[in-house]
Amino acid sequence: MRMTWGLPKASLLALALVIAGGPAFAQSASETLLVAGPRTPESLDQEYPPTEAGHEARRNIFERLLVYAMKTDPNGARVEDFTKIEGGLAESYEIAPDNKSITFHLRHGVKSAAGNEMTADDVMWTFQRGWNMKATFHWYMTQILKIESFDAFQRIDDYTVKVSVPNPSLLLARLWVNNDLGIIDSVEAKKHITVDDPWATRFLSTGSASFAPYYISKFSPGQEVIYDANPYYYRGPAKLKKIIFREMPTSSNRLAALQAGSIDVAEWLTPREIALAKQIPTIKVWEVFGNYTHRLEMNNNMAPFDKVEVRQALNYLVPRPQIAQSVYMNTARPTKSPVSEIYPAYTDDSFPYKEDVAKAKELLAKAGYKDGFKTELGYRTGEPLEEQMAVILKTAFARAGVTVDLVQLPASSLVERYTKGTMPMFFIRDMAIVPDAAYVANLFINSQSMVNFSHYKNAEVDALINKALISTDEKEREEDMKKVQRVVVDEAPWVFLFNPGYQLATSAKVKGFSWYTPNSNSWYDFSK
Amino acid sequence: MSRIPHSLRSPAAVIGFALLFLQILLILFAPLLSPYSPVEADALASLQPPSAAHWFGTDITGMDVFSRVIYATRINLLISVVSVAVAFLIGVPLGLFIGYYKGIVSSLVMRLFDFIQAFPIFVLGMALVAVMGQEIWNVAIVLAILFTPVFARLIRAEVLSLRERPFVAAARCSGASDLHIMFGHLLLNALLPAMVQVSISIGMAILLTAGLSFIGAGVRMPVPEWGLMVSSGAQQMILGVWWVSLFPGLAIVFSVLCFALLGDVIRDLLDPTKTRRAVSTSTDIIPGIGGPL
Repeated sequence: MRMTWGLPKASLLALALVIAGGPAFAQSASETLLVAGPRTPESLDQEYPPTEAGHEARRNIFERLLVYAMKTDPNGARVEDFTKIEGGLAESYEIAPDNKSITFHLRHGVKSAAGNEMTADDVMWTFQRGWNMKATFHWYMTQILKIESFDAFQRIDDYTVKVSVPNPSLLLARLWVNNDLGIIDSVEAKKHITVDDPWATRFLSTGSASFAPYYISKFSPGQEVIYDANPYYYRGPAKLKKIIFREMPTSSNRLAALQAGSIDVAEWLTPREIALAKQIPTIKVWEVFGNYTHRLEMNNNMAPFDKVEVRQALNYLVPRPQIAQSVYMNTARPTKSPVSEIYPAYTDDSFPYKEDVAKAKELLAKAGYKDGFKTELGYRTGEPLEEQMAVILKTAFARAGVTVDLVQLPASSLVERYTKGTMPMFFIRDMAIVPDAAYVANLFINSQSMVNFSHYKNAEVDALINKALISTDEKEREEDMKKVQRVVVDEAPWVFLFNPGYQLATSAKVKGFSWYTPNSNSWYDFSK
Repeated sequence: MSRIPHSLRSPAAVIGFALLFLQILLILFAPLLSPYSPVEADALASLQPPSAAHWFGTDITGMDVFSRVIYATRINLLISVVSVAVAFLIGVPLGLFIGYYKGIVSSLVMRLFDFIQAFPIFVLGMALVAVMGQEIWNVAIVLAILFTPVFARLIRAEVLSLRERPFVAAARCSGASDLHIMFGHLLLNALLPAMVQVSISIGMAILLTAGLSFIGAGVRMPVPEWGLMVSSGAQQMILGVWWVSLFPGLAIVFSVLCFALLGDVIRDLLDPTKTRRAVSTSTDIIPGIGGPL
């Protein structure tokens, strides 16, 4: 009797497994990429504050209206050409002669992973959602484009959308390349709307609905994220059909796994590990100049960092050559401006900070801290580089009587503390996505910015930034932004540290690395 | 020679006391024995292998591992001894009371201990340190909280068996108060397992302190602490850098071994069945009673 029932049951079970596992088995090893990174994204929603892990998810599960053309850099990596904007989901665009509006002509036949065709309704719903949620999208529109009302967004027809701004802006096109401004498949998202969740935030924080090359098939925070290829993607389906991203917090474990061949890509290795990886024949290290600034922000509202002399003193105490050698293995460059070196209008002509303990002591005495002071420095758990720098800086600052308590916190707790303004000093490794000095300055230095975590405030700097945001005179903008950089370097809201560049270690079989300003990998470009 | 009890002359005792003596030396003379500051980074001396200048090499920030291992003896033993002492001082009287007085309070205290001990020890430790902050004293308090039920349960178990013995009835009949019975008669008879547990717990506390620091829930960098040093060095093992983890790891091994051996020695010393005058019951060593009834 058991035998009689057992065989059909087993057959049915096997059949069920084949059916259920069909799509997974359908992909060969060469179509699946195993990636290990320090953490899974905190949220998949574009409206969540940007983080490194979040940016990478956004790059792969959202598609934007415009993109930069790509070019090959001297190291052979594909990078964005900031001088050439091309159509993304918008096949073309027009900017009004007065630089006060942009009209997007959407591509026809673009489909989401759910099979829904993109129309102007999707774009408008995305705008409406972002505007009403008053988070990332709203900030870009109000802070960068100075839009005051949702009337600025107009649906012209099924495939045309127009955005008008009150003042002329040279960022009108550049902004839409931004990683945070993807278009949502509104038909799919609306299926998840509830009375208390009119913008499907619950669904979009753990799932995806867009016109991107990938969609999320599994999201287990703290464990793994699985991306599956969108079969209808308008640029053609991805070569890699499945991306399995696994959280592996310790960088040395990621390197060991890559070396053992258990993963294809190891993200965020330390410079020493990168140096080791370069010696392993089965590993390929991709490197680009990058746009990061790794800095130590001081809360300018909090004593003693409310005094310019104290902030300058700490900058004079940093042993930059030693850090470059021992922490970065001479692969990083000292940051000498709030703006990245690769962006137009960058200048470092006024950077005065060389290691000078006597000068630092003199400045501290001038500020009324002759005997130094005691403070706290926060850094993220699982960031060996920051811990190493923190210990070196603690020793360096102690030479002028500055006692630093090191506080290691989970990333989310640290963000919470510096956002609330309760952490005196903290590391930030950040970049501005839009390659424009006014954008960068507005992001990090404008006193109105939500990410000006140092709370730096200078009326002249604010005025110059605000002027540049609505100016169309490129030469004047450049001069103004250089002036902003000189003032900021002098007033030192941060301890300027390093640009670490961007490196990615992959199996030698992996090809197609490309670099984008958010420092997030676009799996569509990869193959193996 | 013959006056020294046999248990103190055993190899285990000699090794245990030698290691204890060494640790006391390191604690007292750390500034004299350490060639470098244990907390000052020297970026240009990063990850140097053991040499004449740095006997145990340097860590990633250039701190001297030898100096840090020596200074860490202070921190690790301070945390461990203080936490166990606090746990002993709280746990023993508490165990005495809940063993002597049966009732709802006793049951509630036992359920509280169940609650504390039901948690995986590291999860509870991490949670408590997360709430209280990563300070040396907080780690000691966390360990004291974890160890208090251990002592209390041991004493309670002993008291439960002793409280029905004739000598307790005799003391009660002679008009002794409850407090006198508990502290004058029961405590001394119930103390043996707790005394042995002290040494074992110090060893466990060293391991737990190191373990908490290893997972990032113990003391903060750059405090010299063995577990933190092992954790910091573990990152560099893949680079072929073995010395940063190895030496503090060995320090943990020897320190825990020391207290485990001493625990055995104390048990042998205090265990009446291992002394020549031991007889069939333990009632004859009850002070103030004057022998079997």
